[in-house]
Amino acid sequence: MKLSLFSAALLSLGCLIALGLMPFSGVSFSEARTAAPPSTPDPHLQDALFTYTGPGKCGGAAGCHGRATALDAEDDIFSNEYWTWLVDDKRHSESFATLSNERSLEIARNLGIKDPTQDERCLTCHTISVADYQDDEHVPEVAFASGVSCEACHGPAEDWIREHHNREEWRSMSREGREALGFMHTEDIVSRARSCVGCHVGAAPKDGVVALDANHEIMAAGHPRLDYEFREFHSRMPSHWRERGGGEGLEARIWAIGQVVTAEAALDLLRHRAESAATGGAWPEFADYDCFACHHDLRDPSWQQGRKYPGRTPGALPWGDWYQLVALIIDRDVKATLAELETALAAVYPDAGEVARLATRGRDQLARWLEKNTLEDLNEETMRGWLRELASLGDYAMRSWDSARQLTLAVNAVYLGLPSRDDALAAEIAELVKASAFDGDEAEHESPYEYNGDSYNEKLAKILERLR
Amino acid sequence: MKQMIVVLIGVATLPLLLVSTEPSYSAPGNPNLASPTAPAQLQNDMRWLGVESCRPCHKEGGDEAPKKHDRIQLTEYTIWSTKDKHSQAFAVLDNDRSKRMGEMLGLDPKTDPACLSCHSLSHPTIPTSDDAKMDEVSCEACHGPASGYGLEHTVSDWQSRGWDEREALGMKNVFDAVGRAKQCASCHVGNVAEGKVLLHSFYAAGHPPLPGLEIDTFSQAMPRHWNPRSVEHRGQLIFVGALATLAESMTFVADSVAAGSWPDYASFDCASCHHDLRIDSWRRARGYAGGVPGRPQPRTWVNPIASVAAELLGGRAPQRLATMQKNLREALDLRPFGEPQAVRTAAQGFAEWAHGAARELAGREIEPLMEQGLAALCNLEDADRLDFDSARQVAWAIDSLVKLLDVSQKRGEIDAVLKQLAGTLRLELPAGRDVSILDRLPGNLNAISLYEDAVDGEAGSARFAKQLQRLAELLD
Repeated sequence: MKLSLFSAALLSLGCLIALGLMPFSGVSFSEARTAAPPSTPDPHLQDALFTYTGPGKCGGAAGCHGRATALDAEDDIFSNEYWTWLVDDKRHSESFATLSNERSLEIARNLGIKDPTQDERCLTCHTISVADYQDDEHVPEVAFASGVSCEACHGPAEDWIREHHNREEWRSMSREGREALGFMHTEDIVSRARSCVGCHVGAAPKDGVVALDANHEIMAAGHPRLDYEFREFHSRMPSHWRERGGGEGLEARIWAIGQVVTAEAALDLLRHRAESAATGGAWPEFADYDCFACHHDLRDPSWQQGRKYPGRTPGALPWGDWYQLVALIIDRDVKATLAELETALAAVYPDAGEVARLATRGRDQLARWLEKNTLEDLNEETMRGWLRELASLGDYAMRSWDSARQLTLAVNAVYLGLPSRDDALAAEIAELVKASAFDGDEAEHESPYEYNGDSYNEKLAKILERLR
Repeated sequence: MKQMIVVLIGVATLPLLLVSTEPSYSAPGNPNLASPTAPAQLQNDMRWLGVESCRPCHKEGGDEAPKKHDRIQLTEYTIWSTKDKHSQAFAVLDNDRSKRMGEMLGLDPKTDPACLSCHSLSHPTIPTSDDAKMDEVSCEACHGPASGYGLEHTVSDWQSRGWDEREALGMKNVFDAVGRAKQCASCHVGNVAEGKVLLHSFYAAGHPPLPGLEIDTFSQAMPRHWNPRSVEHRGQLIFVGALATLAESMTFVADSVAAGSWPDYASFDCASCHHDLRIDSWRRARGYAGGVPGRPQPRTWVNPIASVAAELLGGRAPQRLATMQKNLREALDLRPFGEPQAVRTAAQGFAEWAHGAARELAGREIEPLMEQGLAALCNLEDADRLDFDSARQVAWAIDSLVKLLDVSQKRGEIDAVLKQLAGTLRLELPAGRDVSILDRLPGNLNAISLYEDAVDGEAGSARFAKQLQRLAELLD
C-alpha cells in the first residue's frame, strides 16, 4: 500500500497522537532486528511502536549529517555521514533499488512473488522495516525506498531526532532512556554486531515482525548466500564514524565479538527453523548447512574424498564449520553444544525438537558470555594466545572451504590486532584472504569454484607455522 | 558328470541351431514378449551355477572367425571374458579406489553384500550351487540363475517354448526391451529387492557416478555378444527401453520408501545439488515450473526419451505421463526430500503406468514410428531446460536413430552436429575391458562443469537446444 508523502505524514501524525494516548503492544524495532538475549525485556521497548523519519531528515535540509565534506570535530561526528552512506556505502543505500533488478525479478518469479518491492520477505532486509507491511504508516514512502538507511541501524528516529540535537543532554541520558525513544546504540561492538546480524544472518519472527530468513527456498530461487563474517564485512563497509575506544587489539576485538554475536544469531535462527518444522516449515532447512558441501561441481580427483571426511559419515550434510571458532574465544561448553548439534543435524531427517533444544542452549551460552564480556581489555598476551591456538587448527581448516575461510579471516583479524607485526607476514595473510574469496568483480561463480582444499591448505599451513 | 551330459546334448543339438527363428516383435501377443516375473515360489528352487557351467558350449571364437549360425554364435563367453567390462566388475573391488572406499565406509568391498550385489552374482535370496564361481558379473547376472534352464535350454524344442515357460525355469527375457531394461536397470539404476542400492555415502567415498542408462546405446557398446538386430528391434530398445527404464527408476523410489531407506541422497539427481553456484545461473533462469525452489528431484534423465515414447504411443499417454510427473513433483514439494508416503504412492503409480505403457508400445511396430520419434527428439520443447545427463540421453537416441534410419539427406552436416554433441556430452562410453572408467572420469565430470557454465550468457542447455534445432532443420 503506497501513500503519498502528505498522506503518510498525516497518518504519522495521527499515529503519534494515538501513541501519546494509547500505548499498545507492538514491536521494539531494535529487539525485532536482533536475536533475543535471555535478559529481561524492556517494557518500554516492547510497548511502543516507533516511527521512521527517513534519511532525508538526517542528511537533508537541516544539514546536520549532510555536510558536503567531513568535519574534524572533537566529538568524532563527521557530519557528512549521509553522503558517505549514499555515495560510498552503495550496498546499503541501493539495497531497495536492487529489488528491481533482473536477478531480483527472477528470484521473485521463482517464488511466485509479483513484486519484490511490495513483499515483506524481501523488504524486511532490503529496507528499514516495521511490524506490519499492510500498514506502512510508520514508514514514509521516501524512507522506504531509501534502502537500508540511517534508521535501519540507529533506530527509528521520530522520537529522538530532536532530542539528540542537544548533545550534552543526550549524552547524560541513560542508555535505557535513549533506547526507550527508539534509539539503537552502535558505539559498542556488541550492540553494533547485533544490529547487523539481523539481516546478515537472519532473525526469528518476533512481535509481529516476519522472520528475516533467507532460507534455502529463497536461495534456490536465486538469492546469494549469506555467509557473514562480521569483522570482514565491517572492514569493507565505508565507515562514517571514527572508532572511539580504538587502539590495541581493536580488529581482534571486532573479530571475536563478531564471531560470538554471529553464532548467537545463527543459533537462534536455527532454533526458529527447527521449531517451525512442526507447523510445516521446511525441515531439514538446507540453508543452515555448509552450502558448498553440496554445491560444487563433481570433480575427479576430489579433494573432499582425499580428505576422507574425518569425524563424519561420507556424504552426510555437514553443519557448523562456520561457527566453530567461537569455542576458541569463549568456553568449552559451547564447543560441546556445537558438536552435539553437528551430530543431530547429520541425520537425513534431524530430530527437530532436539535441534531446537540444543540451539537454544547454545544461543543462551553465547548470550550469557556477551553480557559479561566486552573484551575492552583485550591484550597482546591473549591475542598471541589466540594466534597460537589458531595455528594449531590445521585439521579444522581442512574440513571445508567454510572452515578454511574462517580460519584465514581469524588469523588476519587477530594479527591485525597486534601492536607490532611483521608487515611481510601481514601482507601474505592478506593475500590468502583474497585467495579464499570468490566473489570479486570479475567473478562468474558464487561458490569456491577454484578452491582446492589441498593446495590452499598447503599455503595456509605455511603461514600457521610462523604463528606458533 | 552333469557337465558332460550337458556338453553331449549340446553338441548333439547344434545342427538345430541352424534353423532361423529371428524373433519378430511386431505382432501383439508375441510369445517372445517378456511376461511378468517368474512366480515367487520358484525363486526358492533357483540357484546360481556360475560361468563355468556356460563356458563349455559358449566358448567358441576368440581370435578365430565366429561360426555362422543364425541364432547364436556360441562365442558369448569368449566375447564376455575378453572384451566385456562386466567381466572385470568383481576385480575392480580390489583396486585402490575400492580400498579407499572400504576404509571410509568401514567395510570390505570384496566381501560386503552392499558391493557384491552389483559387482558379482551375489544375491540376497537366491543361493549358489557348491562350485559356482560367483565372483563375476557373468552370464547369469543378466540371463538369470541357470539351475532351472541350464540343461533345458540345450534341448531341441527350447526354441518353440514361449517366454512364460522359459521364465518359469529362471531364464530372463533380455531379448525384448522391457525385459532387458529391467535387467540392466537392476544394477545401473538400482533394485531394492535384490540389494542393489548404491548409497550416497558410497559416492562420497569415491564410487564413480552412475551415468544415465540408454538401453540401445549401452547394448551396442557392451560389446554385443549376439547377432546384429533389426531396425525394429533397436527402435524398441530406444523407446520401449526408455519407458521401461523409467518404470524401474520409479519402482526403485517406491521400494526405497517401503524399505524405510528413504531418503538417501543418491536417489536424487546428482547435479540438482552438485553444481557450483554460478552468477549467470541457468537453473535460476529456467525456474522451477511452479514447484517449490530448492527441492532435490529424483533422477531426471529418465524423462526425455520416455516423453517422446509416450507421444509415439499416442492417445492419452502424453497426458498421463504429465500427470504422473506432476503427482511426483507435488509429493516432493511437501517437504525437503518429499513426504515419504506421498512419494511412494506417486512413484508406484508412475511405475505402474510406465510399465503398462512400455508393454503397450512393445506390442506395436516401432519401425514406422521411428522417423516421427527422431523428429520429436529434435523438437523437444524443453530442450533448453535439460541437464547434462538428460541431454546425453537425447543425443544418444538421436545418434542411434540417424544411423538406424540411414538418413542420407544432408548427412554430412548432420554428422557434423552429432560429432559436436559427442564432444560436449561425452557420448562415447568407456566400454570394453581396455578403457578404464576411472581414466575417463575426470574428463566426463569436467564436461558436466562446462555444460553448466555460461558462455556469452548461454548455458550448456541453451547451446544444446540450439544444436537440436539445427538437427531439426537438417532433418526436415
